[in-house]
Amino acid sequence: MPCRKNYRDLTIEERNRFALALHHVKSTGVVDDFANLHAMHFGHIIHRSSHFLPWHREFLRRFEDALRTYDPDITIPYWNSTEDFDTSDPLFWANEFLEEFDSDWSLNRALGSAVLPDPARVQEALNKNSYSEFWPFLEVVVHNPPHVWVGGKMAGIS
Amino acid sequence: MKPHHKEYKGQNIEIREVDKKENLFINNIQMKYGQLPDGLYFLDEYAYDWKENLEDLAKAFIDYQNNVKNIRREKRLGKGDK
Repeated sequence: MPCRKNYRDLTIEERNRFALALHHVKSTGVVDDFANLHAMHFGHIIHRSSHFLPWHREFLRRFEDALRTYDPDITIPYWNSTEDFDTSDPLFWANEFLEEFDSDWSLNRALGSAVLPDPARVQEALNKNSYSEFWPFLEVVVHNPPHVWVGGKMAGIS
Repeated sequence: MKPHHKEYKGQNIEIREVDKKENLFINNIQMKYGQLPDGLYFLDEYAYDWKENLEDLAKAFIDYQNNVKNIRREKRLGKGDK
């Protein structure tokens, strides 16, 4: 079964293949289609409802499938925003990897535009006793701030 | 209904009601916004800091924009790397 890895744990080859796949789906319009789909549904129960997690899980799975049409071994890496936020670290979203998309895709990032949740807040989410307590806390306290922290396109609906 | 004006950190916030819909302007620029299922407001370009009313939303957006300006200024000065 494919395993999603922290972007810092990708090999140079895996990084290059992921970046190439991203450039491919951008060139075919798939990235913009997904962005528009998210924007279209933003105020219609994909946020601030119990659909938040399953909708986004399926959304990412479909995007991953789109990347796999270019390279079948691709998985979407993740960023651990609770521990990995030192923008002075040369390996943080390094120039030869994630940083290149900021200018290429006009993302207009402003890294550091908010306060990120720490690991204790993630644990607080995991300690919730029911799904109905878990998802609203996770969405607002853990999920939302990284969008603002990255800034630019990431702070908007698309 | 009369337009509602507010100055916040040197920026002008105005809420005008047209056809029973509130329109939000910041420095005379109309802002696109929406509402979540429970009525909370978001801006299309600042969508992850939800507020109960448009004035609070506009203030949060102005604070965010100020943060962004500071970050970009520091980046230009070589203090930030990204």
